[in-house]
Amino acid sequence: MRNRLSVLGLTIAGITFAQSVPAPNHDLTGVWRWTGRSVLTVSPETPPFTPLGKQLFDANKPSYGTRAIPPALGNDPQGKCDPLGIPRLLFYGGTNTQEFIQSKDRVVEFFEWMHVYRTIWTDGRELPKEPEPSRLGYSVGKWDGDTFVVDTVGFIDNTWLDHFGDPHSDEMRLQERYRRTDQNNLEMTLTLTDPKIYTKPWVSDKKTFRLEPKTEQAEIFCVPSEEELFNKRMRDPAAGKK
Amino acid sequence: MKNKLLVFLALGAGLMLSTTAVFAHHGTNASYDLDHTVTMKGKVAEFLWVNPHCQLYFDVADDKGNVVRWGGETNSPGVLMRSGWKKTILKPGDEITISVHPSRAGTPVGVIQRIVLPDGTVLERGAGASN
Repeated sequence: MRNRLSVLGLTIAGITFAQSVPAPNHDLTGVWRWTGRSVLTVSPETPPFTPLGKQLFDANKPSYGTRAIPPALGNDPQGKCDPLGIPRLLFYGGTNTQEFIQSKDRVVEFFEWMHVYRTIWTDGRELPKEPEPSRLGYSVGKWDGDTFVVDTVGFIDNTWLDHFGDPHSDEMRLQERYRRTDQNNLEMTLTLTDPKIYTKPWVSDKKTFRLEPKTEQAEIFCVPSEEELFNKRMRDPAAGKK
Repeated sequence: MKNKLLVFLALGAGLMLSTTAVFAHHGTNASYDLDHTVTMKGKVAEFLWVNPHCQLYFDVADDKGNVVRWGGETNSPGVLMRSGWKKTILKPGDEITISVHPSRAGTPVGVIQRIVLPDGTVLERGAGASN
């Protein structure tokens, strides 16, 4: 009985202690899993579309949210294992994790889903004036007090912004702000500007992440040949598609 | 003693309640009728432990002896392993009881909710899944 009390006391002490360990200075290192119930996009309210934005939105047929149809009948590029790009990879929810690893001149973020990484340059360089368009964009990061600020430009326009088929253009600019509030907790907000598509900046709600010190990211490629078989054997029949 | 126990239980409950966002990649659930569950006895034909979706193909016989080949989809191996699944957990010939949300199209395809293995082990869908 006395042993059990000791164990209980130590457990409570351990939990309490773990909750209040301060964040290491300027360090996002670790495997992080999304917590809470934030919507799986920038924020619950999409800003108004421009006419082009509305046209692209209508052409995208997602399998999530209020417009969801079976994937076999939709046109989500994810269905062919096309790379998701940024910011969609940021919205992957609690199923898969994100890991930050830091070195002297960069922070590298690894996304478990699709086994993809992106580089955030922290050597003080400026954003490129004419970036080569890409799915992940070109990112630079710097510390502003205890907040890590990431600016990204240079997007190619053939990815979906999120799972709901919201579009973006090649002029999208993104700023993410990360604040590690203690050892185990990370907050993120982001601001997206894309005047070709949205009539005003899209400001996020607060996303929260929890550190998983013991988790090793699994290898989760999206394998096109296996996805094709899966489509034939499962997804197409599930939608009644012959 | 009682106070410490209550604090411990409250902390534990708090940790469990701070759930991860419920989410399934590929918008899987749009194909399936989430309001209905079909439970069947079947025999495993094939278990594919592949990315990004593991798949189970199993045969279900009706009382007239007609056999229907069903397909059940679930999460990636990486996600399933966190709920105790492994590559060898289902083998051809295994007699199982399986519950799925069936396809809206009425075809013999579903998203797996629960499997009871021959030895009585229960497999649930997988952490962070369902939408």
